Amino acid sequence: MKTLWAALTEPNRLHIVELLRDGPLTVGEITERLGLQQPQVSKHLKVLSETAIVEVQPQANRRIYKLRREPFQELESWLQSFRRLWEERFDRLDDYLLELQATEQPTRNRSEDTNV
Amino acid sequence: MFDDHSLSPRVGEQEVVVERQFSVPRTLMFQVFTQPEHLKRWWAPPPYTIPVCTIDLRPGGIWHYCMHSPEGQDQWARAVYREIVPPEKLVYTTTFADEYANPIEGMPEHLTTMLFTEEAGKTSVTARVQFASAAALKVALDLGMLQGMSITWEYLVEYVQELQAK
Repeated sequence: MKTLWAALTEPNRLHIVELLRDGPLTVGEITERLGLQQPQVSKHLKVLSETAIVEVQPQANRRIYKLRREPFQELESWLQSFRRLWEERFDRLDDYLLELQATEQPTRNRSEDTNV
Repeated sequence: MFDDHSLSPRVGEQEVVVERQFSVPRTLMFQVFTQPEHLKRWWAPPPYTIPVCTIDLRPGGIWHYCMHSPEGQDQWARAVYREIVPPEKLVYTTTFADEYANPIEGMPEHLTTMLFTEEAGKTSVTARVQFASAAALKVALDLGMLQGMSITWEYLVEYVQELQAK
């Protein structure tokens, strides 16, 4: 998982992934849309292939790059973990608020008593 | 390009929204989210504790706290308030820090927006957490001390180096 974060924290690589979200592209198409030099794009694509974020499909004499599904399922499960973290935090908050109200109750009664 | 729409890999801009209703008035809820003596009691996942927590509640002010593990490790975090509308709204960015509240260099931040709405004496709390990048999400998870996973300084240093290496 660590390599996924590392691969995506580079802005150009993130940009490539964003481009590929809309569908598979060739190196040439990616180069054109990013406005970078082809060797640079190839270097980034190599990193993305090594980290299994993209895969290559040879088609006739062209190489088509597309996103692989698995790393994003992993990312999604990390997001789910984060959600669970907050759900658990809300559980603790609920317990704490009950505790707070339980201790506040006698105080409130006392102040009512003094008003009488 | 994914058939399964729920996957929608918006890697550039991730967010998580969690909402819950509590049977307390909004003014109390706001205090529970902004006063150290309250936060120390519920913010950290057990067995972690929060021995130190300071809050300077104003825009640009810092909320600085320490999460202490049963193994004796201290992990500091800091949040900087961007917007404070008592008792309705809190907006802040969070990241790892040192004990003097200096952010750890190279660490991405995540943005949290807390909304408190009151209806018939009950308060709905909405936490919207936005991650500018996948790396920011990872930092957020680590900050939460996910499921007993203890984060050591060595790991952090390694992680920051990894971020800076690119």
